[in-house]
Amino acid sequence: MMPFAVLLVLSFLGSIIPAVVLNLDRKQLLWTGIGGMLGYGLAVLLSGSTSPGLMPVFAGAVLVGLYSEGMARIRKTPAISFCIPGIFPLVPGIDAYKTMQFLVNGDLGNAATTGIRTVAIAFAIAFGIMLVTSFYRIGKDKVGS
Amino acid sequence: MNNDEIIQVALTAGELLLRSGAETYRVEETIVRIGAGYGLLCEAFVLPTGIFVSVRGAGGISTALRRIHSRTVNLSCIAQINALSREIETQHLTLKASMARLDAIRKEKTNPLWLISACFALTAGIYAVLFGGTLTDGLFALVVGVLLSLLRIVFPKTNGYPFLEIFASGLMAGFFSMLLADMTSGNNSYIILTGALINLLPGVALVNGIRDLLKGDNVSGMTRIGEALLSVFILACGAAIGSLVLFKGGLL
Repeated sequence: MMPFAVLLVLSFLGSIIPAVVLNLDRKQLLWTGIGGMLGYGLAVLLSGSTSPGLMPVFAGAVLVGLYSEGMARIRKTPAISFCIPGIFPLVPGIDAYKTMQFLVNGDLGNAATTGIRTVAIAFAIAFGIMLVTSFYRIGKDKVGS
Repeated sequence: MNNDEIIQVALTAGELLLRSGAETYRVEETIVRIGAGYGLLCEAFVLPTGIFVSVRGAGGISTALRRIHSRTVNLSCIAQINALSREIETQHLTLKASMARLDAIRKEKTNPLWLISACFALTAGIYAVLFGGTLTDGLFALVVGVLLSLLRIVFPKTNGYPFLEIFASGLMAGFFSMLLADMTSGNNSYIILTGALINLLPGVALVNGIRDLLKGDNVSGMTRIGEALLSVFILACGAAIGSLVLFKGGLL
């Protein structure tokens, strides 16, 4: 495994560089990168692996969610600006791709295993973020409804 | 102030949000908030492919629909519309002023193409290393990333067949990753390929779809997840065919 510091730098860059492709306001780039670094850093610390499993990814997603909601209030910009690039290093893209590769090769057993893992991790990320968002919104006036 | 103009402002704001990849609930809330800002009871129903808005005001009930054909991600646009909708709510901007602001946001330039392409390629390189590749793997992924970003220029944003671009990207990535790894030794073609394709993998779309589902926007959620799965599938088919061209029969 790479040194932890290198992973942190890579995940920092891995959040801000895709954020440029997603046309994020330049003033928010640095803060987005820190969010991505924190989330991935926590997941790697908890799992001890560069492709973290279910619970570490969930913990990372909760951290990214907390960070995004906090930053959204400080920087006066929607939380989505921080959490979309922030979860980039956590998203199980490699698993999703492996699943389809197995399917295309006709290896259904492995496809099922990695497929379930992919969906579970995607759910863990989404649920982690939603959990934080819901807590932040409790008590806040909902417009119109 | 009549219902029609208010609906136009609300619909345009909703359309820009949806085109920029905002969550379904944000689009609905923004439309309702803008309606409330102008003193109307507003109801919005948003799908990834269209927006329905109905308002009840002095002039009776009016309903309008807007179709959305293409969606990308533009986070700066989401932030600006969000700020505008809050201004409308608290400072009661005139309809003309709101429409002018929306037009300005719509016309605002995104990052220059060279910068987007450079970042597109850099992302490929970084993720190849993050996935456990060597520096050479990262460099090769970067090269394939540059080739893929050229495809983004060849295929116009709104050609109506987005999956064609995804298939072509998979094809190119599969072919060149295998080629580069084959020409040298000690490089993992698999890591180069996944790094190069990381930009195109719909991980974020998948997560957004699940967020919609968890929020209770079932139709939008299932649609987004379906779209994400379909594009992974097409990407993988493209990559498999691309590498097959190199090694006849080696993969299937």
